[in-house]
Amino acid sequence: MTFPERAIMSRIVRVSFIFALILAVSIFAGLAVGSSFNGLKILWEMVFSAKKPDPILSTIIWRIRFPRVLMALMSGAVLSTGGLVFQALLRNPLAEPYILGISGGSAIGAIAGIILGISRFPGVAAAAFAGSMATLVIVVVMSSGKASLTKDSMLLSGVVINAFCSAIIMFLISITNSSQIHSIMFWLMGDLSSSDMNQVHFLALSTIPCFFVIFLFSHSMNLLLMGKEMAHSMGVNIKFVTGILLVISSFMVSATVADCGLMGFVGLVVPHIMRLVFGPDHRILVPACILGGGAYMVICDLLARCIPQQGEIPVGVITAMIGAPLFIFLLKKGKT
Amino acid sequence: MKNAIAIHSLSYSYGNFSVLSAISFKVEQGIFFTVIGPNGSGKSTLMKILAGILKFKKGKISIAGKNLKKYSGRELARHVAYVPQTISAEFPFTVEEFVLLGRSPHQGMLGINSEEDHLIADQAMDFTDTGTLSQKKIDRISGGERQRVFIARAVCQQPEIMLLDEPASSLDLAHQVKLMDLLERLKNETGITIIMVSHDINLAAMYSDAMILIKNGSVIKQGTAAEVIKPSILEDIFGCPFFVDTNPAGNSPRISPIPAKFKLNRRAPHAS
Repeated sequence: MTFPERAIMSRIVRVSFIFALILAVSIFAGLAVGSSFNGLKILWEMVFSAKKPDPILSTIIWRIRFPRVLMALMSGAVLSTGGLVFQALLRNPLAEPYILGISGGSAIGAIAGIILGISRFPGVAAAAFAGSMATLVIVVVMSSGKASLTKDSMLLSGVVINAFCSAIIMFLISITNSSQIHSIMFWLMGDLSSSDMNQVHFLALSTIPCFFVIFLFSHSMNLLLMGKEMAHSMGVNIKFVTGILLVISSFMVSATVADCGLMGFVGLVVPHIMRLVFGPDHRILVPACILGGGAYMVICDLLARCIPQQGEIPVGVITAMIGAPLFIFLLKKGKT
Repeated sequence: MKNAIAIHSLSYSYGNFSVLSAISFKVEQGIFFTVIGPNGSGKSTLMKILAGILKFKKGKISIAGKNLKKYSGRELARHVAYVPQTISAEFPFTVEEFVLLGRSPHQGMLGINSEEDHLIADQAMDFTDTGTLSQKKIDRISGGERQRVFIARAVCQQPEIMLLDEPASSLDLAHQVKLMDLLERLKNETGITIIMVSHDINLAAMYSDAMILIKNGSVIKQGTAAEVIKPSILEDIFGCPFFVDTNPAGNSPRISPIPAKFKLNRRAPHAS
């Protein structure tokens, strides 16, 4: 797909509009489909007709499915946009939101919280957030010497810290009694089933401002793609821009992971697909990742709820199972 | 003639390793100026300082009559464009998108292009003969084309001074001359001051209005090509014998290094 028209604003609006439509459709599907009943018709009547709705159906849709769909939307948007930002800042297409030790650190926090038996929200979420922030600080300190925020040292530190965290995670799992293992495994594979409106409000408040700031810096990310020195010579304040973007995207990814657990591959797959389709301009990619990543996660969560005959699969399993083959397919297709 | 750049006793070091020591020189406005010298002499460091990338502590630099330290990053970028040896092209922009990035010091934060920006980019591409490539991806064009696109981006920045670090070193002979012709045309038609780093002395001699020769961070000689390119000076700097004559196609000095076996041949006729 190419867009010969040059005006960037109209491209941004057009791409955003298309993805907003896709997102709206996926939200509707997410609300209409589930294990207890299916039906777009019922949903349609409830939203658009004056008739008093069935209170049970109403509860299922607005109390159970709606917060879950919103959580999926936001986590998908955050992880995709986070991946996009990390790939631009570290100028490495394989960077992902978890690369700076965010996943390892928050997993340790969350597992410790689960073992201690504190409540899922805000208890475990707070522990996970604290864990990810702690590892982030360690990674930044490790990689910052005289040449602060060097891309390779940061990447390496992240890999090392994540490996170290995996060892601690395995240790914690090995000393855990069997009743807690299920909830630990669900957290590690990404779980949206316990979402409620409190979590939604919390996550919306903490991530939506981040999206605005990231969009504001989207053209600076374009300039950064030419390399630090080039960007510098074009008047970009490198330290300021990379600092702000790193802190903001790490913060929003940590907040999301703390709430929903680890959902793999989203931060890698969605930005890559968007880049293959729309090119490297971040002014397009940021809105495309926010809206498209949100839609992707809503659909993945829908599949996670519907595929098994009984119960459900963790959404992280679905994101990885769809994401990896799709990624390879697009990569092959894009190369030829 | 006004000075585009005036440098007064500039020193720079990476940690304890001194790269430039108290160098001073001036570059007149609108000329083609080259900095020549052996590898590791501090040429590239000098360029990065002038581009505002490296912050210097000792010395004073004036650009267009104003202290370099008084410029903000964006303001400096409106006066000075920098073309390094290579630019990362890992993320494939089209040629047009890439050239348009040159407008960013003149734009707001989101870099929204006006009609005028597009016009300037089109002119820059026409000037550098890259207009036909405009919709091609930057990682799918040849090395010679890519170098011209890098210069188009710098032209699009509408600077008064263009800094180039070895722009021709990765190109074959024909493309080297084509690129240098382009830079000369740029100087003549737009009045941009060209400051180029090169270790290709012959290429520099053919195009430069003035040059300096630096070694170990000090200015050894400054002047026109004919004044700087002399065997007595160069042999000392490079530690290798040279033969200098005049380019038969023009009037610039031409330098040829003399390998050991040629030296023997040169002596042979006299011996017999």
